[in-house]
Amino acid sequence: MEKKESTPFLEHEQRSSSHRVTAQLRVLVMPSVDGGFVAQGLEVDYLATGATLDEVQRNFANGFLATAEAILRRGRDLTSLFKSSVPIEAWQQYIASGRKDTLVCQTVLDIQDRLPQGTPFATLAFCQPAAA
Amino acid sequence: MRLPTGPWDGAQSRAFVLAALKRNGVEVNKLSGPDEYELVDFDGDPVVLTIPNPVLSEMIVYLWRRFGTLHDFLITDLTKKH
Repeated sequence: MEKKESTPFLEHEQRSSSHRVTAQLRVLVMPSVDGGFVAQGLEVDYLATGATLDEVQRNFANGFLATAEAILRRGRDLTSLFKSSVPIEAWQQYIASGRKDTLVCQTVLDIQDRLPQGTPFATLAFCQPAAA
Repeated sequence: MRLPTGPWDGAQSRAFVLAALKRNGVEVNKLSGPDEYELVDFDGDPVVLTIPNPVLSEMIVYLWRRFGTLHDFLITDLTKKH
């Protein structure tokens, strides 16, 4: 079988104080039981909420990258993203849904700078939310 | 049996949830973005979250999953007693 090139779901390159983090995560987007929407990462247990679909997608993308940056600025390891586990129900809902949402994002961070640089995410490929 | 009362049902006030996290040792830092907070656990590992008010029940469950075991608190510590 021919081996296909694929983007790893999380990649971290470091050169001196400069870090490049690239992520490609599957994301379950669904209505919240309380109203609004919820986005749950599947490879990484990260969650965002929002009043609208646009807002929850934006909150997820920005928050996930801000988390990666905060971890690096504090000199911690990105493995802390795996301190909690994604509930199996989230995987079940994702597999059962017809749509497969994916977030592809990248951030470049120089920890000598006080502010993050560049565009927070390169591609955002969310789909419409699944029915509750 | 208690019937659901509306969109706030199950959601909690942000002030209450953040106070409960602080009480259980989670460092809570307000960031510059609207509703944006950095939560730091005992080990010094941060999570940046947008936490609108009210805090939806899915976010409550996530906060407990991320911090509850490490900081030894129950999910009910993040919900108001009625």
